[in-house]
This record gives sequence, structure tokens and C-alpha cells, in this order.
Amino acid sequence: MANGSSLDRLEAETFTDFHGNGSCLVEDCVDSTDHDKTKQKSLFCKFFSVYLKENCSRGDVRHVPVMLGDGQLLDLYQLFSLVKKNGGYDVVSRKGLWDSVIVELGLNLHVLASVKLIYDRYLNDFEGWLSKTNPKSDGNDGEEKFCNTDDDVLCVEISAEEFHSPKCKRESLSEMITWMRDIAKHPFDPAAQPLPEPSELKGCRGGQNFSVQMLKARDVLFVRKHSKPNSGSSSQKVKIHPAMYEDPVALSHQGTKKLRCSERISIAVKSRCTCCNSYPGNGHGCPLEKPPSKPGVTGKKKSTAKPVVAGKKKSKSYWDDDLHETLVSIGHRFQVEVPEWTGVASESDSKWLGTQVWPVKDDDSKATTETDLAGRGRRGKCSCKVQGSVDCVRFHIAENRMKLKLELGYVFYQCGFDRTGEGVSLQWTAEEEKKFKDLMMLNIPSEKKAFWNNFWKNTFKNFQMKTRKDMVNYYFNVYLIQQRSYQNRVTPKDVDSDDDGEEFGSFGDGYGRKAIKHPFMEFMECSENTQCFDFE
Amino acid sequence: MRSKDRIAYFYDGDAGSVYFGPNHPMKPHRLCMTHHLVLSYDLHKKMEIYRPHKAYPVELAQFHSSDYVEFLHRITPDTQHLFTDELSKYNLGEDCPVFDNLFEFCQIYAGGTIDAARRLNNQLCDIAINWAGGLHHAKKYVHHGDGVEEAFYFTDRVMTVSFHKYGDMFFPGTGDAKEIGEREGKFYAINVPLKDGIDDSSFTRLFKTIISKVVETYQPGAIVLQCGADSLAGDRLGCFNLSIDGHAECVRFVKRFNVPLLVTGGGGYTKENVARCWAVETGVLLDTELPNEIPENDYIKYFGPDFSLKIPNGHIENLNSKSYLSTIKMQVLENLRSIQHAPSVQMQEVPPDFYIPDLNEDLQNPDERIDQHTQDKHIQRDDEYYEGDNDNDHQTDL
Repeated sequence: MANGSSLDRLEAETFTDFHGNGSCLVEDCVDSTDHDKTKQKSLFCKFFSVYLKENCSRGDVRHVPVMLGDGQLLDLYQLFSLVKKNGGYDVVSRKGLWDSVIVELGLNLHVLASVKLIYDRYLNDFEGWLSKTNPKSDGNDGEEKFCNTDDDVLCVEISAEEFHSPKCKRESLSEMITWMRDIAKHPFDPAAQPLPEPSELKGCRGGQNFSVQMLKARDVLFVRKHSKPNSGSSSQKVKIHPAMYEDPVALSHQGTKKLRCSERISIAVKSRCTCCNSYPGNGHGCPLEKPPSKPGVTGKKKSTAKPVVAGKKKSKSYWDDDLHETLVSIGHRFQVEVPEWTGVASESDSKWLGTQVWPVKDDDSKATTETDLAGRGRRGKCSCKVQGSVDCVRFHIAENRMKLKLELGYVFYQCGFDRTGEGVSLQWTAEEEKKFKDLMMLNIPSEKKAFWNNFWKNTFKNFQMKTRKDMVNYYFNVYLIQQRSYQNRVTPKDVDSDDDGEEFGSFGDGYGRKAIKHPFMEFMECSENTQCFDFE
Repeated sequence: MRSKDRIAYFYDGDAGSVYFGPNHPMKPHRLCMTHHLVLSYDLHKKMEIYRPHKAYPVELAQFHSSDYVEFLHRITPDTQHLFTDELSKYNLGEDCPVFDNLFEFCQIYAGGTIDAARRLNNQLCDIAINWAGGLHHAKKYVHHGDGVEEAFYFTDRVMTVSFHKYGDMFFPGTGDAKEIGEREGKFYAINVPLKDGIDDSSFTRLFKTIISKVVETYQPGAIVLQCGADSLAGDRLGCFNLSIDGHAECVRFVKRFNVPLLVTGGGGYTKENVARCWAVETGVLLDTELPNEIPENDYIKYFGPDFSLKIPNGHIENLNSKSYLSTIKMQVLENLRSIQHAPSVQMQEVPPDFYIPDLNEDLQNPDERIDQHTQDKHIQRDDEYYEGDNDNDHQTDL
């Protein structure tokens, strides 16, 4: 009892030491000016872990760290203290104060329901447990004591209850624990001390089991898994393996019961399915994770399928002091199998090597003589009446197109060039074009999405004759081109072909017949136009 | 330079009609635009064009899990609401949307790279190009993250080298310099994390130093060069400040090693710049410098108002200080020292940093191939941003 306060200091120290880097649950780095808060936080973590352990042993599972649906991690301590500050769960619910709690936590309001649920599942029960553990006080006082800076009483009680152990265990265990801490800090250090001999623990009850657990914990720490934030989640950066939340304070504390440690580690082996950021056992059918085994009660552990275990590797970059973790998956499910090189290239059959479309095989002579002409740019001058006018540009585009078609022949169609160019609009009626343009102007993303994805459902009857490919072709070859034409001439400093909804005018009266107007002559069909697009 | 490199260029006309959906930054139509530019500049006169076969599901399943492939094959926009669990499992949905002919698109770009690799393996060409390829985030089971690096993280048969933006929770969040591979693959993965705004001179200098050291040390039998164009200035999602010349300079540099080379595309979300960049780089691979004035073609209007191959400078601050870059460089070079030299390599004098001598053609026998023992070694380079909407400026809002 006498060393209750030193106990506390040791715990806080060790805890912070262990978790000082990037821990989510204890969010901020240790702030020496806010010692009380730190103490409270560390106490919270300690008690919560004990609570977890006890509940898990009853078969009632709680997973930490807690994650919200969009992948953000939730600081349980912060949540707990905020709600307490506002008067408790019931008061907050009654008075509708959840909004402010959410805002204070720095979260989006749409996670309100999740946060409430989490509080209910995790912390309400925890409160109850806390008050039960402290028979001297009723429920509220327990929390008060917890939130107080007068921590010694509580922690002494806990220590009296839980930490009693014979001396021999204490010594060998502390050695084991020191080793584990070293491993945790430097998991990949080749100079790491080897695992203490299990025989040293033989004298202690279940010592061998304990060393098995230590080995498993080391495996867990070594294994890394690539973390995958869900799209849109910008705050999810740090992922902590649940093992990190198992209270190392208790482990390092002299005389910790070994049974308790092994159960903790068993919790650590259970992992979160990081591929979908949800916890297994919710029926989500992730292929990566077999259903986790029930946490052992006696400390005997069978190894479950363990290919996907979210491990953590701490790494600190030299140049910016942001601390972060990186996780890479391992296992046959993630890495490729690189077969040995046999000296023989596989698949030399031509159909597996791509079909040659150019140069056309029987026309070698033509190809070789023209290699020098490759890489010519746009001619500076042309003989058009008004250089650079809409008609001039159209003429030259058509001219080049003709040349290419003559040169490539069949390859022109193979490359899909028959489906490109503004001439695509010739296959659309004016009405269809207008409807398309109106639709694009609608700046309602969901409608646009529905349009592109669902048009097979005949939502837009006027496009009945058009396939999706036609629509996409028209969009890129006519609609956007027109938009860019307009921008090039009217807003040359502000060009963007990605913003669909912008209003734009047009130059010329579209393509085809109406494009060329002559006031005094009968309209003459432009032979260029018909030649280019008569390949249907 | 060898007297005449054989270049095989892979293109499938169906790629241009792939559409991810409104407001999605990835636009396969950029491939069609690139192809138009390449042909407008008559570059087809100097190379062979191939239409690749569309990769069969079983080929895709050589790496990816078969149920993932199957799912991609069967899912359509109309039915996706019935498979919300699977969508989240495979990380499809918003960032990686389900759209019509999604699977066909996968088959196109994968088939292109597969055919290109085979052609190189069979020594039918010296350089193979597949601008549709280079999409490197899909992992075995999900589409997300640094898939290719992870795939080869534990092996020394493939060395991966990646130059990318890192930090500020930029997608995908991995790529710290400390990620160097594990077990047998330790030191066979190189990550070069960079900050916003890196410019041509800083980048090319760093790139050349590191890549020359890698090639010297690892002696690859083949190189896969992923030319993600989101490192260009003005990219919709990216935040570097490279010009097209700077970007192409790196391609030119790798070509000079005269190692069988597979060039792929990658990211790049301002499609005009992507088309410019890859057309210029096709020219570089063909030893042809393209004049800036873009010849008239169907898509010339996209390149207005200047209709030139040049892109404007980004005018953003380069947050990569000299000391920072120097630190990274030292770290990478030190890691490379840990790799044993390949047994067949002659010890050569190592040139001082920043001085890259031209390769002496007379010493190289153009008919001799790298010996089979090292044939299967690859290095791969990335210098791009990753798809995703974790960019600060552009929140895709579907």
C-alpha cells in the first residue's frame, strides 16, 4: 500500500513510454503541463483494459481500437469524459447534447448514431462495471474518483485485488516483459535479445503457456498489414494493433498475474479485418478472415488461422517528425508467387503476343521510306482564306484525317478512328443533341450518374437508338470538343474539359451541312464531309 | 544507343470508349487522345503497332484471387446494389466505381502489358509500350493501395522503385523510405517519398542518381517503367511541378541502359497533359523529338488555346529542400549497398554523384542479351500519384 503512488508513477510512465508514439486511444502526446489529464487518461486506459479482459473472459467481445464506419478512430477516453462532463449518457440523450459532443470530438455529425451506439455498447457497461469494482462508492462516486486526481486509492485497490503474485513469478515475468517491450520498440532489430528461456518459467504455473503467448505476441508485432483507408477518409492514418492497447503497465508491473497476461495476448491475436475495416463476426463474409476463435479462458491457446493479422511496425521518418505506422500484408494471399525462370519464354504463339496491325505486313517498302517524315508538326501557314477560322481548322482536320485514312487503310478502323471526330454528330439528330446538352447542363450528380449507368432502362426514350458507347463517343468527340472550342476562343485563360456543367455557346452552326453557309449560292454539299464519313 | 531499337506499341481502340462516370478523375479517353497525337506526328512510321488480346480471367487470376476476378467480371451498375457486402470487401464503390464495360477495360490494359512482356521475353522487340497499363494499385484481393510493391515485397527477384508524393495523408498512405522490403526481399523495395512542388531539376537529378545506382547494383534483365503523368504540373489530383521535358528526360535516361524495357502509363488526371506527355515520350523512345506545334487532328481543340505540346509551369513552391533530398538520397544509396552485387557483374568504377556518363556503345554488343539467370529480374519505377479522392483540392463527390 505504501508504494501506491510510486506505482502510479511507474504505470503512467511506462504506459506513456509505450504508447507515446501515435497511440490513438491516448490521443495527444504526453503534455507535461497537463499531468492530471494524462493521469486520468492513463487510468481510464488501464481500467478499460481490465474491464475488457473481464468481459472477454465471459465470452462477451469488445474490440479495440474502436472505429467508426468511415474508418475514423474514436478516442474512447475523450468521448467518455465529454459525456460525463455533460451529465452522463441519459442526460445527454435527453437534452439532445450529442451534437455538441460530436463536434467537440472533431467528428462529422453523420457519425452521431454510431458514436451513440458505441457509447452504449462500450462505455455504459464500463461505467456499471466500474461502480461494481468499487464497492466503497456508488456508481457516480466511482466516476468521480476516476476523474479525480486523487487516484491513489483506486489504483491501490486494483493492485491489491489483481496484482498479487508469488515472488518467483514476478522476477521471471518482469524479465520476460522487459524483453517484450524491447521487441515491441525494435521489432526488426537483428540484435534483439532472444526470447528468455521458457525453462526459466517452469517453476511458475503455466510458465510455458506464457512463453507461447509471448511468441505469438512477437509474431503479431512482426506481422504487418497494409492499411487501407476507406475512400474519403482523410483522418485515418494511424492504425494500432489491438495488442498495443493491452495494458503493458500491468505487464511490466511487478507481480502481475501470468494468467491475466496470457488472456490479454489472446485478445491481441484476434484481429480486425482490415480489408473492409469491420470486425469479423458480423457476418460480412470477408474471405481473409476466418471467424476468430473464442478467447481462451485458461490461457491455453490454439493457433487459429493467422494469415491476416493486423500487425504494426512503428517507423519514424527522419525528416518530418510525424510519427506513423506502415502496414503491409503478408502471406500467400498478398504476395505473388514468382516462379523460377526456366530459360524458355512461355507462349511464343503469335496470338498471345498481340496482333500486328501496323505496318501492314505486305507493305514493308512503303513504311521504311517514310521514316524520316515522322515527327512533323503543324504547318505554319496554309492557303485558307481566313487562317485560323472555324472553317480553316475544320478543313485541316478533315484533310489530315483523310491522309491518315489513306495511309492506314484498314488499320484506321482497327484503331477506332472511324468513331472519332466531330463527325460523330452527323449520326445524331439535332433534337437528340439538344437533349444531350440539356442533360449535361443539369448539375445534379446523382441524375448524371443515373443517366450514365441506367440508361438501358430506357429512362430517356429519345436516346433509344443509342448505345452507351455511342453516348460516350458523342460526349468526348462532340460535346466536349464544342465546349473546348468555345473556351479556346472566348475564355482562353480558363480552359477545362473536366467540368461538365458549364454553360457554353457554340461556334458555327454545328457540323455538317449547316456549317458552311454562303449567302448567295445554293448550298453545295461539301465533298470532304461526305467522303470522310461514308463508311457505314 | 543501339543502331535501331525495335519498338512495339500496343493499343486497343475500345479503350477510348470507357467511361468511369461523371466527376471521376480517371478518364481512359486520354488513351485515345494520346494515340491520336502519336499518329498525327506520324510516329507510327517508326514502330510497330499491335492490338493486344483482351486478357482472359484465368490470366488475371494468375495474380489476383479468382473470386475477385469473377466478381469484377459479373458486377454491373444495375446489380451492384445487391452486392453491397462484396463491394465493400473488394473496395469498389465510389473511388473505384462500377461502370459498364469495367471488366473489359481491365482486360484491355492487362492484356496489353501481358502481351508486351511476352514480346520482350521472346526477344521480338527491344522496347514495348502500353500506355493503357501501369495501373498499379490493385492488390490480390482488393483494388486499393500499393499493390505491385506489396506483391513483390518479399522477393529479391523483382526490385520495385517508387518516386511519389508522401505525407499529409496523401493516398494511399504508404511509401515511406523505411519500407524496404522484408525477408528475402529486404532492400529490394525502394521508396522515395517526396513533398509537394518538386521541379524538373531536383527530380531528374535524384532520379538519375538513384536509378543508375539501382541498375548498377541489381543488374536487371528487364525494366518496367511506369510513367504516371500525375507528377506533371497542373494535374487535377497531383501536386508536383514537373514539365513534360523533365518527365520525358527520365524516360530518355532509362532507355539509355539498353535493357529490355516495358513502358506503361499510370495515373494522370488532366487528360490533355497526359496525352502530350505520353506522345512526347513515345517520341523519345523512338529517338524523335517532336515539334511543339500540334498538327491538326480530331482532338486538337483539347490542346487549345496554344495547341502546343508545352504545359505551363505550376508556379508552386518546391517544398523539397536540398537537404531533404540529400537525406533521402543518402538513405537509399546506403540501403543499396546492402545488396550483393549480381555474380556476373564486373566491378566497375563508380562515377561520382550527379555525373552520369553516356554509355559507350562500342563496349556493348547489341546482339547479346542479358544472361538468362538475370532475365527475370525487373525493376519498376513509379513517379506518380495515386488515384483517390484524398487530394486536398478535389473532393470527388459522387
